[in-house]
Amino acid sequence: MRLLDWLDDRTGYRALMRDALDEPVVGGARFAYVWGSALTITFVTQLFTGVLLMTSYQPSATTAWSSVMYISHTMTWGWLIRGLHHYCAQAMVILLVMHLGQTAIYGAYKKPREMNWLLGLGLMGLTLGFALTGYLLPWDQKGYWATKVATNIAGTFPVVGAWIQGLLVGGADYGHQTLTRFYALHVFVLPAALVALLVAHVYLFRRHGVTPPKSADTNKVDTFYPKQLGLDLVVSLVILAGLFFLAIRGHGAHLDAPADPASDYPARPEWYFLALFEALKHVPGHLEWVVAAGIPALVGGYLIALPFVDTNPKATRKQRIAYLSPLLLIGLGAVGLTFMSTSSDAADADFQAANARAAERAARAIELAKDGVPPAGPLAMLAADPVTQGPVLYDKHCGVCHRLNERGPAKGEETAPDLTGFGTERWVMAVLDGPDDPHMFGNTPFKGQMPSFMRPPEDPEALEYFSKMKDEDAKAISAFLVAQADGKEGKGMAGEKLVGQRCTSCHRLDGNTDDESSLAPELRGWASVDWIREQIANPGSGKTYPPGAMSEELEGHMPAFEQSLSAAEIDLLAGWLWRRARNR
Amino acid sequence: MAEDKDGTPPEEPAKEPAKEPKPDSPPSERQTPAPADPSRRGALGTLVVVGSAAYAGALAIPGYGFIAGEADRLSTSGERWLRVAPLESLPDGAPVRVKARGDARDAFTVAHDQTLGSVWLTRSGESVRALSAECPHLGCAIDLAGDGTNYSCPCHTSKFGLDGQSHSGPSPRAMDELATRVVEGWVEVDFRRFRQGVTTKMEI
Repeated sequence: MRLLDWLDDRTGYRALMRDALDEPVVGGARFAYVWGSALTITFVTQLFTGVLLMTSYQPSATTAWSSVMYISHTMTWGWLIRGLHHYCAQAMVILLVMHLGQTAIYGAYKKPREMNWLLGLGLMGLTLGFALTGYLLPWDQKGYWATKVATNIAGTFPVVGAWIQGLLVGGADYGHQTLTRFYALHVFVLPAALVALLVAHVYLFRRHGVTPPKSADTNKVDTFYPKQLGLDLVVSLVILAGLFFLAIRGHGAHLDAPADPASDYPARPEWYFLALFEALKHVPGHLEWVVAAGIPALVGGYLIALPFVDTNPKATRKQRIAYLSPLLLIGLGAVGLTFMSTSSDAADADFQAANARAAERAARAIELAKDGVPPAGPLAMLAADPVTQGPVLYDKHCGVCHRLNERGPAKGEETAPDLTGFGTERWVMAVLDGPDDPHMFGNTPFKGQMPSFMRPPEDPEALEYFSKMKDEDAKAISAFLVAQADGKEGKGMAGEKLVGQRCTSCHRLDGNTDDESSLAPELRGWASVDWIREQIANPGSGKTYPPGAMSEELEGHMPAFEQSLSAAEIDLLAGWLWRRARNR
Repeated sequence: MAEDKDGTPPEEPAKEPAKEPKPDSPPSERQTPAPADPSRRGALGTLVVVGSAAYAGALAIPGYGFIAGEADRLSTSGERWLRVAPLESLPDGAPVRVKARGDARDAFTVAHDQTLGSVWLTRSGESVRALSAECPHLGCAIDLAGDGTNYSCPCHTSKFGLDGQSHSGPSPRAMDELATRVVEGWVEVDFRRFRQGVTTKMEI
């Protein structure tokens, strides 16, 4: 105690504590007053979780996403810390509405409290600033596109638009500089401004005290501690429990796939900006800024003007309705617009499909990143991932002609062989049976080059020489070719001899054929990953088909992709195709 | 909450001058309400303190785990054979410093073929002695002293013999020896790192 006496003597902390704790609450402590304290406590919670996140977050375009992934999926309690920060930010928006609503309904903005009302509005603006800047920091698809849209809207403001946008983005396009600017705003500028306004706000609140309802017994005076603080704490603990519930339910906050400037993404803002987002859908582009800046300016302007318009100190709550009804109308409008937005998204199949694709990509990116992200960043990681890139490259380059499982042209409309099962027994048997079937070479310039070994030909002359291949021979040939596709040599297999007897009259085996002018492909290594890679790079290299297969006369033949795809992309595609053909 | 519906009395509380704290008067002059029942205040006060502690603890405990959890997550302990040099490239008896290269993992980043550290190799016939170039004192890189007869740390001038034994200076132990083997003509080192500043060789 002596030490504390000494400390009190030198600092006077006891008087300060008394002053803080014994603040009179005229009319008695009540739940209606908890919202300001609850906001302060949630703000401190945000500071705490925010500083923790800062110890691991890395604001750059190549590391931000990976560090957030690491926080959320690897670090001890990381998912919880980020989850609390995420949901607490949203809780603050709700608490702001409660606090503002309570203040407005109690008429606590009137003389002499006008300045504190204005400070409160400033604090509300700063809190929304936190939400806007924080949304970008994970540098995932959601944050990237939503913020990009927001700054682009800022860019459409007349006169100052381009200037503001340039200052925020810090370059011609989104990148390192954008992220560090938003980060500096989010972790230093906004907190510093908020603390400064909060100190002034609390000071003025203490100066004027609470505004009890007229029914309150003003002879009754509680102290802030313990009764009002107890009520504040009860509400804060309930809020914290809610935050834990939300964080645990979703195992933290969602992280989308890494920001990809070249992707399509169904961008939506956070729920509390949905009303504004929906409103923007219904105005022509050149008037966007009128809505984007005008509605918030109108609401803000009205709130600022309120204490100077509604000045009657004796007004009853009923009389105040006239002044508050515009806010109520705007609030109802916002609820309506939010509902419109969510219900139109819920009914939009394209949006749902795009969302599902985005979720799939996010899950894949996180799965890959758990094993480590290359220094070039998560986009480089995804670009090298066959599961992600295979379908993209296939749809763009192969799926125009080739069918593969459910990808590519409809059945019967292929203009190149169906690659489903390519390199398996099923495929070999199908080509021996009907090489000119529409799902084989029937719709290609190679139609008529290979006879069926199973079906009698229609031409009577050819029929004379036809003898159906024995099933066991077909099986043996197939076994040999499947071995080739699996990357085995297959030396000495029964099928190797049969191929030498039955197929090399046209086909090549180790480069040898009876007919050099034939267009039939090499069968050694056929349909293996290497063979597919050579075929994609250049079908006329001689390693798969002979140079004649690229002849201009064969209209609709397969083009070489070595110019349009990188070696790495061809590698990736060949491996992916080989696996997908086997449904792996 | 009690609310007046009839709207007759003014909503602002009727203020008796004595009750209204004068905004511009110093805190000491303001009216401080007499604390109600002290025992009630005591019990409620305890609850408030306990509640605050619960709130703070619910955040502090995971917060500490978040910070502390990283300490041993990326421990590199365990066998890790790295190919460092062809045996033929090493002169007999003279120490040669080689780089240990391998995959480097740093939090979420994995980089391939990075320099992880360096190792002093001394060949004698078909066998090779490997000494970590990381000083056991405080981790500076150990160099060969000018005349090639001993090792020396440039930071705090610890001196070691070519066998790695500590000769002089503050180093608490001998240089850390690493296991070696020769595979297909290549020297491979089991690259590990050890805690600095302690007398026993403890892997990290």
